[in-house]
Amino acid sequence: MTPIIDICETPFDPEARLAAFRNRLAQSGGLVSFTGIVRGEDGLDALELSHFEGFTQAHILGIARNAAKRWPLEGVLIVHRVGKMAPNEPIVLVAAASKHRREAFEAADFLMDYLKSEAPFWKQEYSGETRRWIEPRMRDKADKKRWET
Amino acid sequence: MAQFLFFGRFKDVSGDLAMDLPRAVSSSHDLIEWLSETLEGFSAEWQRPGARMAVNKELIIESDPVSVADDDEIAFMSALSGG
Repeated sequence: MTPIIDICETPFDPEARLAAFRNRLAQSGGLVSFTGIVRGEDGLDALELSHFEGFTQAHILGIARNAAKRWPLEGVLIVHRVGKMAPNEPIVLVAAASKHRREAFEAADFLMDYLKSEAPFWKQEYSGETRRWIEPRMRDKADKKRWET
Repeated sequence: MAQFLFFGRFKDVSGDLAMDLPRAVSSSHDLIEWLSETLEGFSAEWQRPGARMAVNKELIIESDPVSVADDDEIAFMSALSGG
């Protein structure tokens, strides 16, 4: 299984990407996907993500391979936006496909928890004249810990 | 020339740059000392929790310095934000 990892500099269409991924599957009975959207919080004008070319992809590939060690997956798709985006724009798409639904659900959940807490992205929020760097929330770290037993 | 890349809060200290390393700088430890003296704001960012350095995309452990040379890509990263 070769995970598909795509860091996108421009907006992407999650439905089209998911349909293309689904069309490549031959043995799966379950396909679980998650789309993350830039939350339209009060006063938020834009979110800007940066990544370290090559380093970020390698780290995300490691997360996908760890998922594939834990669950029998036919496919993993991870599409992640970088650059400046507005509220309501898709920021991430994760999909996991497996013979049975439970493995696909768990793998997609695992992938998102690790992406949220460990993926090498740097994020800034822009609100009016102010700009601030964002770090993972305690909740993100606690979510990831669920998989460490 | 060594290629320097700065990510996250380090981007507020400096934009990416390429420069020759001084002769006295031959290890990651020397490099951090030199940048702390020459680049305003670098030292404060380096001391923040989660700050990391990579040489040619390999993470460096501060207690285990590696050699650095003029053809290296050297990256400084503040605590990551996650996806």
